[in-house]
Amino acid sequence: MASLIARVTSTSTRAPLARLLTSPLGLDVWEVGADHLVLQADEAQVGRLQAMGYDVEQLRMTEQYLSAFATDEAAAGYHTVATLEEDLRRLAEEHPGIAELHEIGRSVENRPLWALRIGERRGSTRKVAFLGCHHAREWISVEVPYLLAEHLLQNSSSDPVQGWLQQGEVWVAPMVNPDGYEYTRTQNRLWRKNRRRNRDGSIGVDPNRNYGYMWGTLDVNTSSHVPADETYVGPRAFSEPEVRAVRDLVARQLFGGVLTYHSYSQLLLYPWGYTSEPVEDEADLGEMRELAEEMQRLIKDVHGTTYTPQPSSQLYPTAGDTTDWTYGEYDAPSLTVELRPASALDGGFVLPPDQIQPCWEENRPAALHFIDHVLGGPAR
Amino acid sequence: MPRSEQTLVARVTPAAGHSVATLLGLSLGLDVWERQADALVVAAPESRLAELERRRLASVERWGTPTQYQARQRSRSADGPDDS
Repeated sequence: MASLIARVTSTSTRAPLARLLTSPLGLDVWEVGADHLVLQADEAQVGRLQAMGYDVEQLRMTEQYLSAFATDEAAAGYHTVATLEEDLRRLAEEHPGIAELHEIGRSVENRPLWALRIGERRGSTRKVAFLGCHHAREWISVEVPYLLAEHLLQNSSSDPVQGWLQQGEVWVAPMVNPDGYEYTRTQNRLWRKNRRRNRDGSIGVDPNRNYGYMWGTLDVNTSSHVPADETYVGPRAFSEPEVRAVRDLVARQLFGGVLTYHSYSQLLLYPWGYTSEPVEDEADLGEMRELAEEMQRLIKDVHGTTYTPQPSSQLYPTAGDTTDWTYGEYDAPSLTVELRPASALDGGFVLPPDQIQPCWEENRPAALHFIDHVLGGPAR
Repeated sequence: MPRSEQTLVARVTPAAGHSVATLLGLSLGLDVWERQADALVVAAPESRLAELERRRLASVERWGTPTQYQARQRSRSADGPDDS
């Protein structure tokens, strides 16, 4: 039976709105106003409400509502795979002296994986990487690193950006998982993994469980060996072409720091993910913890938003994630930033497009601090 | 699709004697969206949520299907942005 979204009002004393909140009608109430309710109901439930004396105004059929919002979202600010490529190409073309677009690999479905190299000279030994969108449904994690690249190029003639780009390189790969991202735009907004067809017929490996440091050492909800699960670690470390592309980029460039964006929960995570034991090297632990704490302060100064710094495993255990590998294998200070919002009740993965700009604004000084720390500090 | 295989978004609160870490340590294929101090927000088939309840590991507050959840979030965002 078709589902619709309706606004319910009443002028009848025999049909008080409050009764609807407690009556066992099976209504899905979305919004409660002083003089109205907005709810999702099927046609039979609507008929019943009208028979009880309520005025029911159909706002939209649920499926139409979802598809309309998908269109609105597309128009309102989030990239598609195609527009991201266009914009990255444009940035490179407009700044030929300091920006180069590199195809670092191809996805399972043969989409190119792009990374923008930003810096005045090649072969610098000081390099920092920003990654986005390992998880398809985390759309904001594409926009923040993209806006960082745009910011660096637009400000490349003035300090401090100019100084950083003279002495080092910033690599930005905003979309590690384009197949999954495309799938979230066309089929399932809440898809997480890539689009690998697994041997049991299920689809998808979690790219952020497929890196080779302590890969596969956990078998829990948040790092699973069951192919159909959302956190499926894959059949072996680096089994996925998207993850191999990042592996090869990191191996070539030997970054002095890696920051990877995810959403949501507003957290600043540092290794380890695979164990609740702290990083043994106290200097390394102190460096990453202090970075995270300073970034927390910088973020809060912009819009007052709280991001909490903590070891990754304190969120939940994850074996085979990006930052365990970049720190564990390369000793690079490595952070995962979980972007807006704070909770599922604030939108979860479905962050409204009008939140992109404030989310970027608050993360900008934190990202620049990370760059300054890696490129501006003493050589490692 | 059988009702038991329908994926639901839910808030899962550990039962007395158990902890959020206990729930995270299970191998039930929960898609963990969010860790709160005293609960998890997950997406999982109804059968697995029911298994948590049957084993008395957790109480489950079912929020609806992912489609219903998304529609609700979009409805909120359409009402106007929160202060940033």
